[in-house]
Amino acid sequence: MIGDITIGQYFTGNSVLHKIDPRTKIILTIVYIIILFIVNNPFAYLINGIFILSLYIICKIPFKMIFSNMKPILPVLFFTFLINLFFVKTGDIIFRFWIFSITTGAINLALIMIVRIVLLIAGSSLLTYTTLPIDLTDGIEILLSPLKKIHFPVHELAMMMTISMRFVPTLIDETTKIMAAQKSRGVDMENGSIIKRVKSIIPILIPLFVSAFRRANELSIAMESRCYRGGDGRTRYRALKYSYLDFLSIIFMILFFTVLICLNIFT
Amino acid sequence: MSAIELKNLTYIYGGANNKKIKAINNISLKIEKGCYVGIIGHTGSGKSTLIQHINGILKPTFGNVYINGEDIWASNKKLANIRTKIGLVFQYPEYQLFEETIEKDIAFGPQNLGLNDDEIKKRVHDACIMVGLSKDILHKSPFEISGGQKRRVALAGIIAMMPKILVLDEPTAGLDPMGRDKILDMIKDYHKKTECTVLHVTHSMEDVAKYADKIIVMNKGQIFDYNSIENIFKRANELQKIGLDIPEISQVFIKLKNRGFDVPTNIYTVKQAIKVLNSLIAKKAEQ
Repeated sequence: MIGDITIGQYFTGNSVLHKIDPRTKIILTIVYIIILFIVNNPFAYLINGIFILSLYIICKIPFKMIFSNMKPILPVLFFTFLINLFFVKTGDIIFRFWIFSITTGAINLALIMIVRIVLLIAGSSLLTYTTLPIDLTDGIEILLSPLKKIHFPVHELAMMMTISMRFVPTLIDETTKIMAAQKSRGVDMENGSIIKRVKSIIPILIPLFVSAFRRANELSIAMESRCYRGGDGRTRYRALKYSYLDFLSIIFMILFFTVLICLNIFT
Repeated sequence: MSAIELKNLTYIYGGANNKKIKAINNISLKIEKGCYVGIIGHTGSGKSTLIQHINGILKPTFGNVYINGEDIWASNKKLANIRTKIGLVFQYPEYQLFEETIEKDIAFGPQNLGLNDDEIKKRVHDACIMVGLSKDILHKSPFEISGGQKRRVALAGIIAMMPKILVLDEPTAGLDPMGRDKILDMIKDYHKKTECTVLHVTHSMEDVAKYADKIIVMNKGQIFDYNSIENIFKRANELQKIGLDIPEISQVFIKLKNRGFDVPTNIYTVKQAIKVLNSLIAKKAEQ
């Protein structure tokens, strides 16, 4: 049940995408997302879709991951579709009922929004599929480091991200254990009314919070006893390095983005 | 009819990279009513996985679990009913405490059984006496007492449900020697008073020798042997091969025997050893 969460998962692999520097990947992903919302040409979306699918093939990530990622955001997709469908008033009216009316422009935009969100999730998921969480936070830290000038706690933020990602599996483990323990004390989570089931969450949540705080406390002591004192002057064991692959991928992506924008302008 | 019966039990779980791992491999087992059974095995031998099948926390991939002759997976209702009869104490059970007061926490199990308030009060009271908790801490928060005390509260929470089968997963892990002995004596007491069946998972051969009637030795997801203490410890050499040992006191007596002393080699507890050694000294004095 809890083990089914797939967003943010990492797939071990040795593909080109795995080898590219996380900083390059983060920036390219951001540009990709921006382009995705600038472009509204159907043909551009088709090329975009093929491009993303071929990246999945290159990285050897099963297509079913795209669908399992969509599952939790299905309600969001549905509401985006409905809102666009009923509240956009451009183009010819093709259907009218009471105060609702549907126009050609609305259908067009509603469909485009769906495609956009699907491509957005599928594309940006590739970043976490092919990047180790620790590399990802390292990349974010370096990219944000100019903000240190205005006293923004970049290192602390990155450390917090690393730690929370590290403890997700631990907490999932802990939850299953506590659930098992409370089940054997007679908590029935499968049967009974909704109120009863909600109530049965309390004996699980409280021990979980208690143990999360205990772990946080122990971790901070362990870090301090190994002389951790924040980011200033701290060197890295795993230094990030750009390689020729990064330059190739940047050039390739610039070309790709140019094609998309040209398509958008000239058709 | 045996209290617990496992038939061709296999449990497979998906490990890293979708590798299927057999935590338990085709185990069949019958445990008689009222028996105190020690379960011993190397880390990762499947002990904890095995006991989680007994009250239906884990569902067997293949095979069946029968409690008092009933298949526990026959229906969901039956499963909930079975869980009330089996007290499962997990490793570090103090992490399951959650109520505002110790009293409420111990009463949580009995409440889930649907008992009336008087009965719950009586059970909380009895359980406290049994585990040696004094009455004046009942209104404290379970988060402000020591680790050893927490362990007792957690145990009391299970005992207050008065299970017919008590399953304990390393109940003494992380306790000091005094606290250890107290908790184990208390479990043995409960066993004697209620004539319940006890399954006790442990790493310590000494504990098993001292308290258990029979021993299950597990190795790599299978049962290496299920037998009386005497018969198990006879296979000392084989035990060592699977990373286990016989109690230190037994090793001492085997070494004494090898050096030519006239001592028995079926000594498993310090108590027995003292008796034998005393009589030996007395004999020497007579000569």
